[in-house]
This record gives sequence, C-alpha cells and structure tokens, in this order.
Amino acid sequence: MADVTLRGVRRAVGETVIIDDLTLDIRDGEFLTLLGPSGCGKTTLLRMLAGFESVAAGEIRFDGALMSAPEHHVPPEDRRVGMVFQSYALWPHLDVGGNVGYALRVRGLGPAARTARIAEALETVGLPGFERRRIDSLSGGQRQRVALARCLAMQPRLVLLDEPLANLDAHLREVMVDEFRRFHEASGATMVYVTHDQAEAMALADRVAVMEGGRLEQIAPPRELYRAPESEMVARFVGHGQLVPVEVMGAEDGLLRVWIFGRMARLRGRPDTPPGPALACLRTGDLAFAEGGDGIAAEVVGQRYEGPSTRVRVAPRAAPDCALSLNMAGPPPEIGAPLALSVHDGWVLPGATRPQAAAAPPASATRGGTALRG
Amino acid sequence: MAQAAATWVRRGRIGAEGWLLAALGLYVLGLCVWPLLRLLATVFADGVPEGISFIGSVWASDAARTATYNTIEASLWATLLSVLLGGAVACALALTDLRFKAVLAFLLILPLLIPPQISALAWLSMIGPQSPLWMLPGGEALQPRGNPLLGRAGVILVMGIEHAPMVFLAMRAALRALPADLIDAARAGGSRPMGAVGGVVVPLMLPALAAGGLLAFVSAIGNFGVPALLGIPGRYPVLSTLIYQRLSGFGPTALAEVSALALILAVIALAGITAQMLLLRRYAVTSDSIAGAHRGFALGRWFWPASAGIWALMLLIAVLPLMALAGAALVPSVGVRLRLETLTFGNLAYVVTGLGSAQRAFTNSLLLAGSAAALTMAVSVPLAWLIVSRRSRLARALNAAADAPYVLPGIVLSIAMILTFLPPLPGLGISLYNTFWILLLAYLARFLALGLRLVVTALAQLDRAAEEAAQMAGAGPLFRLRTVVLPMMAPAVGAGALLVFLGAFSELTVSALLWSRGNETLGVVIFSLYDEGNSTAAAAVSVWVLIVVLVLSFAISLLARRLPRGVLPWQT
Repeated sequence: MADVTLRGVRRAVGETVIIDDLTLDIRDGEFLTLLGPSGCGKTTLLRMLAGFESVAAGEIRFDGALMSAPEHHVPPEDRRVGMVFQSYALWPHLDVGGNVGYALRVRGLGPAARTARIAEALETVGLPGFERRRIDSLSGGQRQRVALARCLAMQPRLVLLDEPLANLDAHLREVMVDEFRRFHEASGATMVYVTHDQAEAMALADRVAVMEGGRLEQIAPPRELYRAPESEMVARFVGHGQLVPVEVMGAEDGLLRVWIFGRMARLRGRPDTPPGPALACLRTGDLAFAEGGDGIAAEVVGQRYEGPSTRVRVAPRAAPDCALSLNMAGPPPEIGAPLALSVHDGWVLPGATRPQAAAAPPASATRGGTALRG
Repeated sequence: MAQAAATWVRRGRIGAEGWLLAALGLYVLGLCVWPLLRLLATVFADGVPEGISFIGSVWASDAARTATYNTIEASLWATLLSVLLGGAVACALALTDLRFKAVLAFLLILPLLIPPQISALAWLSMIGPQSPLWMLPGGEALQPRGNPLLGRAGVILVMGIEHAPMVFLAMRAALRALPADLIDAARAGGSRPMGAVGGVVVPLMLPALAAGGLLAFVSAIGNFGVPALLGIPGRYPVLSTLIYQRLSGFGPTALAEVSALALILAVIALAGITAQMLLLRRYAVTSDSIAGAHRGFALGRWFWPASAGIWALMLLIAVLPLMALAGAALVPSVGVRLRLETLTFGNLAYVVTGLGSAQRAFTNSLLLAGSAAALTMAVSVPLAWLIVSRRSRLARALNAAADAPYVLPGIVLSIAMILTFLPPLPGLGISLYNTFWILLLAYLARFLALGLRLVVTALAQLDRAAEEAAQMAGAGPLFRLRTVVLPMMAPAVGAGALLVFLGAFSELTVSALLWSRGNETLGVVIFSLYDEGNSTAAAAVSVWVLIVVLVLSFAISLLARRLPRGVLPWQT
C-alpha cells in the first residue's frame, strides 16, 4: 500500500513531449483509472510509475520516498510494484505455480513459504489447485487470473494494470471488471489502471483521470466526470457529449439560465459561470421531442436503427450545422420532417468558451424562434 | 536507508552489466575486428601510398589479373544461373498450384546445406566417365572421355546451383509478403494470370531478386571449395585458389603478396555487400495490406507437364549428384564400374577405421564444431540480450562487427588469422599457427554472426513484457537472463548451435590454409584425398559427412516448429 505523488512530471523523446508537466496524487488504497485516446500518454505514465521510463523533469514519490527524478531513478526491480500486462506476459517455460512464485523465488523465500503463498494467491483469483498446469493449457480468462495472482503474490505496494482486458471477449470482460472490483475491495491495494474503454474506467474506478496530449484534462469520480466535464475534450470523450453554443444569462436556484437555439432553458453549471457565450454539454438522454410542438424548432436529418431504440439526428433551424442526436422508441419520423425539441438537462462547461462559435445573439435566436412559430 | 541500499545495489548491477559488455566486446573485437585490421596494417605497413603501389605491383602480374578476371567472370555467370534457377522455382512454387511444394523447396535448398567441396565431388561423379548415368540405355554414346566439369564451365555450373537457394529464399520471402489482393486486383482489372505476373509480381519482386542475386554473387566471389576441386585441375584459377596455391607453395614468405590479393578479393566482395545493403534499405518491402499470400494460379492442362519438368529438374540438381557420389564411394577403386558384384562398403569402413588422417579429421572436426557451437552460443545469448533487451549502443556496434568475418570471403579471414596468430602471443611466447587452436579461433570468428543473428532475431520477437514482468518481480539483470530469457530462448539457442556445428563440421575455405599435420579437418581431408587422386576415399568421407549434415538438418527442422517465425534462414 502506498500513496503516490507525481509533481511536474515531464517526459520527452527528442522534440516530442509525451508527458507534459503532470501533477497527480494517488491516495493510499485508491483505484485510479487513466483514461484517454491512444497516444495520450497514459501507458507512458504507467511505465514511468513502474520505472521502465525515466523522467526529464519533476519527481515521482511512493510514500514520500523518491522513485524518479531527472538525476535519480530507482530501477523497476527495486520498486516493489506489481504490473499486469496487456499481453499477460506469462512465462511459457514455467508452470502456473512457477509464474506466481517467481517474485518469491527472487526474494529467496523458502519452498514451504513459497508454496503457501502461491496457493493463497491462486485461491484469491479463483484458481485453486492450478499450480502444476501449463500456461498454454489455460484459457484467456484463466491467464488473466494467473497474471493477477502473480502480481498479488509479490505483495506489491502499488498494482499497475495496462489494459488488462483488451485481449478478452466482451462477455469475459464484464466478468473480469467485477472481479477486479472485488479484488480491489478485498486487497485494499493502490491500483492504477490504464484503459481507453470508458465503460471499463467508469465501472472500476474510485477516480478517473482523463488524459490528452500528455496532460491531465480532469480527474474526478466517474459520476462527476460524466455529469460535469470540465473541458470540451472530456465532454466529448466521456459519454459522447454533444457540445452546443449557448448564451449564459445568469444563475437562478442553483441552475443557470441560458439561451439555447433561441429558447430559454435551465441547465446545470457552476454558479460562478460569468454571463456571456459558453458551451453546453448535452447527452442524448437530455433531449426529447417536445409534446405539442413547443420547443426548439428542428428538422430530422438522419436516423439509425439500433435495436432498442432509433438514434435520430436533428438539425436545429437556428444552427443547421450543429446537428444533435437523441434516442427515440417507436417508429422514427421521416427525414426532413419538422419537429420541436425540449432540453431536460445539460451542463455548461466552465470557462470553455469559443468566441467564434459563440451562441447566436439573442436577436437572431429570437428570429429562429419566430420561424418556428410562423 | 532502503533508498540508499537500492541505489547501491543499482550501482552494483550496472557494474555487472558493464563487465559483461566489456568481456563480450573484447571477444568480438579480438576475434572479428583485430585480425582484419592486421590484414590492413600488413598491406599498408609503410603508409597508404606505398600500400597502394604494392597492391599495384601484385596486380601487375598476369596470374593475379587472370585470377581476378576469372573470379568476376565466373561469379557473374554463376549468379545469372542462380537468379534464373532460384527465381523461377520460387515463382513456380509461390504462384502455381503445384503439389508437394515443401519437398520441392527442401530439394532446392539442399545444395546450400551441402559443403561446396562435396557438391563439386558429387557433380564430378555424376558427369565423369565412371558415372552410372552412362550405363543407362543409350548413355554409352554420351559418355565423356575426360571430365567436362573440370574448368570454367564446371565452376560456373556448380557454383550457380550451390547459390541458387539464396535467391530462392530471398524471392520466397518477398513473394510471401506480397499480398494476394495486389494480384487479385490485377485480375479484377482484366489481366490474365501471366499478365498479372508480368505486370505486378515481377516489378515488385525485382528488388528481392537483385538482393538475392547480390548475395549469390558475394558467395561466389568467396567460394573456395568449388574452384579448388574443379578449377585447379581444370587450370581455371580464381583469386581464392590463387591465394591458396601461393601460400601453400611458398609458405609464410608469400604472406605479403597474398595479403594484397586477399585485399583485392575483399574489395570485390565489399562492393557486392554494399550494393546489397543499399538495395535492401531502399526497397525494404512494406505493405499496408492485411491480405495473406497468394494461393497460386491453377495450372490446368499444364499441371502435369509442369510437375514433370520441375521434379526432373530437382532430381537432376539435388538428388542424382548425391546418388552418384554414394556410388563413387561404393566401388573398390577409381575406374571400376558400379555393379551389384563390385559394390562394397569397404571404403566407408576404411576411412573411419584404417585411414589415419581421416580418423583424426573426424575427431578434430567433431571437437572443433562442437566447441565452436557451444562457445558461439554462450557468447551470442548475452550479447543478443544486450543488443535487444538493454538496447546497448555499444553492443549493437559489436553486432555489426561480428558480421565482417562471416560476409567476407573465408580465405580473407584465414589470411587475417595467420597474420594475427603466426607471431608469438604477447606474454606467452608461443605461436598458435600450426596448432588446433588457430582453427578454433578462426571458426569462432567465422560463425559468430551465424549464431548471433539467429538469437537476435528470436529475442527481438519475444514479448518484452515477459522480461519486464520479471523486473517487476524484483529480478536483477543476470537473474532475469538466467531464469526468463535463456529458458524462453532455448529452442533458438539449440537451432543456432546446430547451425554453427553444421557450418564448422565440414568447413574447408578457412581450414585449407590453417590446418597442419595432426590437425586435419574433414573438409581438408576430402580435398587432399581428391587432390592425391584417391576419389573413392574422398567420396567415402563425403558420404559420412553428408549423413551427419542430413541428420543435423533434420534435427534443426524439428526444432523449427518451436521457433518464432523467420528465425531459421530456410524456415517454411
């Protein structure tokens, strides 16, 4: 168990900056996921924690002890950090017991103590009695569990997981997500989990750190991340948020009054959000067809049948380029059909204004509204 | 406290790795680089202009000029033959629905596995006046008086066939990397199979064909076994045989002259090597297609004629010469026809029980090949690990240096070894020349690249995470090497050892100048027996060598299933 602090950490290869001035605290016993698109630096960050990559600036400390700094680098073998690799990296020339007990052998533990610890670790991952099995006789899920057991047996102070479910099929992945959760609760180990799959990240983590371009975009518990993204990137990447230009008019009862496509709506947002142009993040579920035609005037531009519902794309009359998606059950409207939209919920991004794409001024918005009425 | 200890341990480990690198560096530099530098130093001892004018004076002799001309001429023609044969068979196997392709491929690769002097002997037996071929009905009229293979034509023919597998392998690798959809796209565009081959396959294959051809050319430049057995008696001298004859005729007094000749030979070879490297770098096959290799056009009504043709060709170049060689070993003496009543196993028994030089050669070659294989692999594994896993820049430079004695003609290496080890060793006061040890050192230098390349390729394909996982478990570099890297590399190490053994077991080119009485090797004994006119005994020793070579090749192909792709030079 350890708490991990990163202060101003930077890594560059040649001119390319991979990790840029990153500061992050991982609490003792926390399950943190690093989420981001490929190439965002999340795997590099994980490998820096493991000690496979050095830092060009800043420092990494475990429980206050310096691990990485430009002039100081504790090699991976001295960090007592466990890692579960995407490829599992099980050694085919050793049996399951040999794999799980390797770290104990390195530490010179006696055979009896070793056997006990191996059995215990295999028990924890649900593979009791698998000691003598060959690696190539195991299924993907079993290999995953052996990799986890190998990591457990060394009693690491920090467990790093590098997309460990990427090679499993969808069903097994769901099972393993629950397993990881359970395993984390049982062991209390500090875990850092890298993934590009947001569903996995949301399901597992105490906190999710979203990365982009070597920087930390936001770090927050999953619900907060989804409900209140702080940047455009997080809004788009997590839950496919749709960003629309709005005009903030003022705060009221803990909500913000905003102009949106020529209508007034009340959305969530920081109370200190200044009036003026801003961006709002709308989820597909935040939108609905307005009963009685009283709402934002729009036109159907596309549809895609997805089984439980149909995803309908609509273009508001006020801003035809800013198409929105929403789900509907039942027979979809025809393309080109006029309709009205209502907005139930939404989040105004703090400080993420784009002047050039700012909300249409109220005057023109009103015109849009007039067009609907007319 | 713990942190201080960790830092201390880390320093200790870097030290261990540093010592390892230093020891390996000493080994590679001492064996592979130093002798070649000695060769340069000998020629340019009095300065560069003097060295050049000395090479000029050696070059001025008719013998040197004729040999150089012959070397280039024979190599060019042999290369043309290799390209035609290897390229055509590779295309036939990759692009048609011929059957038993694996067997055909093995037969074409066979000449590469057989030592050149044995190939030469086999071809002599097949075409010579005593060949069983002429006993076939109607063969009597074709029976030659002398042996038509002695001389230029024979050197070109046998070298051409011997090196055809290099072109074949280069072509086959490229054809396999050629995605089927490129050919399918040509067909969809309306071209017939031959049109697609001419318009798409051939242009895309030209770099591979040229690279394979250059490899064959460099091998032909350095070949000694074939011109020694066919060219010397046929009065067709090439550079390698000229160097051999000068040095064995005049002894160490000729060292200065043969050093200059060796340098000329090395320069010709280097030109070929450089051209090949440039070509490979420029035309490295890259493809963005995920389609597999083409499954082959249906030959239709041409299936049977084509099958008959290719099997007859393979029989002629791979099977019949070896049968003729066996036949030559089974007659009581030269000139006796092989019949049921003349057939005897006496020669085969004699060379292993009664012939002193051959007996010694068996022992020596087994010892030399065995120790060369073991030592080479013992050096290759840690060196490959430093190159691949630790990405040591210095180790990578050593990798390149280890290539030099392997790609340069063997005769150049043996001159370099003589120059280095003829003078008494500093501090010990003894010379290794005329001993068993100079042979071993030369083999170690010659075959390091063979073992090292294989281990490097195999290691590069290992999942790096396998070692990183061991690192996470707290294992230091040497512990990881022993418990994770080495066990996972075991099949590749085994294959590498067999490959080095195979090369060293019947080595002739390097040994021809380094052997001494009591330290004969099998390659040398075959050559000497033949030279003395005792072809039956030469054939008998060859048959024994062939048996070992074939058994070892079989052992390697058994290992091949456990090796990563592309590790073995001829892997299917």
